[in-house]
Amino acid sequence: MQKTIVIQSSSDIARKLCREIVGEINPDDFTKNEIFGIHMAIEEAMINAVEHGNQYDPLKRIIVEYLITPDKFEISITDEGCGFKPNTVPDPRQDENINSVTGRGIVLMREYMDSVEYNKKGNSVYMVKLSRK
Amino acid sequence: MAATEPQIATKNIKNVIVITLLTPQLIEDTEIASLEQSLLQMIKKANVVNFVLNFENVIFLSSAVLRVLIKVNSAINEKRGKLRLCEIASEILEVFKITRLNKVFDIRKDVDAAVESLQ
Repeated sequence: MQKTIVIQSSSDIARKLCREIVGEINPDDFTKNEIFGIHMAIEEAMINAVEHGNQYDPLKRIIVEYLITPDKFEISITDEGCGFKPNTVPDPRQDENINSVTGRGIVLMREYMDSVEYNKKGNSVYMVKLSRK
Repeated sequence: MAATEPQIATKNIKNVIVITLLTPQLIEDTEIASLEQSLLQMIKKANVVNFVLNFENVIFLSSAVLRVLIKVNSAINEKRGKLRLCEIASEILEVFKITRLNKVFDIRKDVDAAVESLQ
């Protein structure tokens, strides 16, 4: 069953929700590495929504919708910010950006999840991880 | 809100400061900020220039910690010192590989190997 949770723009609340969502994943359905990757990806997406999207504005909310089945984990995280263009974020893996302190969250999300899609505005990310266990 | 004290332990081995991170999940903003401040102050004040960061207790970290490590590395480089990372769990080592930070940091198997590489 799909769940929808609305939270305040708070790092602590976002991280607590991440831990709760990860805790709902059945370790019989996903490998330890897959669960680690899902945790990493949703943590980064959630913090991006709090920091860059809503810019810690306590009046703005984050909508989290997720569905966990034995075969698939899917989640969408939507903030109330202006959005951004993910393709314009410099790749921190390039030699000229290797010491950059930003951009690694998006790289990790794309690496760990099977699908990462942003809406046109750039304020909502939808991610899918398929179980290969 | 009071700043969270970073959970670290330090000791000097063969003129190298070995810093052991004691928190299993490095994800809280206040803790990461406190860790950054503590490490940068320690590097600034220390009489030695070489450091080892021991991750043996860490099972999860956010990309905010990677930012701290880059700043710490820069601070040590400014002192013409060297930084080694060690005892990194396989899942976290994968994070370094994905972000190519394994090319930036010198990662050793354990504390002994890290300290030895700085002699």
